Amino acid sequence: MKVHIVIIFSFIFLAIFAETIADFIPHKKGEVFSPPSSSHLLGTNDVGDDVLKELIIAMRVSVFVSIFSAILSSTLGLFIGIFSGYFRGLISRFFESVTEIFLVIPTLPLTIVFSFHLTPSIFNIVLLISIFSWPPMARVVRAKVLQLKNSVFVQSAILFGASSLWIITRHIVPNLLEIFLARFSMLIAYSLILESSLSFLGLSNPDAKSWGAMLHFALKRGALINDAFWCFIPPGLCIAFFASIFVLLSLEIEKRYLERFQSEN
Amino acid sequence: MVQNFDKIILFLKYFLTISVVVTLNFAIPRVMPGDPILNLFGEEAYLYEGILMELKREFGLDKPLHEQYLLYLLNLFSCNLGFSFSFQRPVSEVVAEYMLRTLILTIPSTILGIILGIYLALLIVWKGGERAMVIMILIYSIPAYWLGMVFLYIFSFKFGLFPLGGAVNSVIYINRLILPFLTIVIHIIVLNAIMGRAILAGTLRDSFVLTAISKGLKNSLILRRHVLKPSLAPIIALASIEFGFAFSGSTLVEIVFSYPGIGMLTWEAIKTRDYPILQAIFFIIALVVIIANAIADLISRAIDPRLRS
Repeated sequence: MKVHIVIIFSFIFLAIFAETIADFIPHKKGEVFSPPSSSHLLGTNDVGDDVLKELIIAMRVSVFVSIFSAILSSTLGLFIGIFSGYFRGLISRFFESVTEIFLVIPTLPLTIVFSFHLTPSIFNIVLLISIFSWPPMARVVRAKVLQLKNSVFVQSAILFGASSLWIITRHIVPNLLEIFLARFSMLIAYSLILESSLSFLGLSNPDAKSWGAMLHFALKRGALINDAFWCFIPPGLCIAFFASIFVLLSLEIEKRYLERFQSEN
Repeated sequence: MVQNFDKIILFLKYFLTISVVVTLNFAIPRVMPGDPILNLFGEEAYLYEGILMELKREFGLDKPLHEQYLLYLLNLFSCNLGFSFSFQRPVSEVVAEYMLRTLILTIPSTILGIILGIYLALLIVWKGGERAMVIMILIYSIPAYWLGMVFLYIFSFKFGLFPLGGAVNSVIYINRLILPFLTIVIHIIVLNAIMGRAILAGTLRDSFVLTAISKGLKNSLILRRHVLKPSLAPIIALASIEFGFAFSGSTLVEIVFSYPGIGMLTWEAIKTRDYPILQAIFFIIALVVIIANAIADLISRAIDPRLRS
């Protein structure tokens, strides 16, 4: 777990200072598709830009889009989950059905259809990803809230006449922490993969290339035919590495939670 | 009685989901920024004045919204999804043709992937492979289309084993299928190994498995009868849902291999800004996924009596 967190924070650190770090690499145009050499450590791409420099700058886009959309969607999912789990009534039923329905509708084609109409900007991509990826979070939170609501401590708090707000903030939310973090970590990986899929299709802002967009340009501008493996291997590895760290972290949190849960009961 | 009620609820859920998809399809081009006619019919629409007028009449764009919606529904039921200007053909024809090729690719690869993946999950659960799981997750995090690019580079470009693209006759067609097939299968195997392990590990903790072990049954028998069989319902449910994922996920893999399926069509439609096609693709994929989910629910109820009570 410590290892995961250290790696994640170094990723975020790199992403924050991406511009500064990338400035260390001298900006000079090389030959188109020139192989890795001492002047261009990872070679150059279809317009002669340094791939390493591009990779570092693209990291900023990828990392921030995935983290911000995960923050937005998990907050949305948390609120909807708590609401539909704790309260009974028409609005609660409504949120429950919306969650169920959007769990089934495939996210990728839906976001493709939407982003087709929107101007390709980072803001719009974040918005789209977060609007459509909250349902799994809402379902998990709702299930846990339902379970908590039937527990002895919540029932006795209700008997003591505590207000719903008090019970939710004091008794429900603290017990959701682990489940929330596990899902949140998963959502970051998920948003990253969704974002790279959209950019791979060429639906993102071409001025703010992410790792997925690098793959898009590599495929479209013939990196394969020009034997330029350095153009598409690094971004793919970065996506895989970054996503897997968050999936592993999520599973680790879940495992610890289960262990604690079993030893308590 | 209770059982029937349950089925009605289930039916209602899927009916609602389909209506949401249909309504979204209706609403998106009308609500989104930009010229709704361009949004509806694609960018090339203005080049064809005659067809455009006919389409406007067909979809009743001069009428109030609720009438438009009715017309839209009627058109949908008669499989009229609009006209594609970049293909110069009705959208339903184009999409049906491309979808068939995607199904040829996804159905066998999903089935093979599920069988191998569950087998792998059984192995991991029985042998207790923590490290194997980490490797599985690493592979799972690799975007399938990128894996496809790497395969294409290594096998087609470096070793020349498979064609990069080109004419579609039957031999080359089979040849072109192999790499995308392999890519999707690997992805589904890994997904199943991860998900299947979670399900199987849950069953393994049940007391009847302990009983079976203490009876001194053979390992293969324990795994088959006492671990796999009780887990079958959730596994099948998972499998059908995965088919939906494979169907929408294979889109990106197809692009890499320029395999002329739904994915390639998406790519083309984005490039030519042909919205009717894109919308129809979303509709079809959503429909397939919803139907797969419904089948999953039905099958798991049919084979697991515990879910019915």
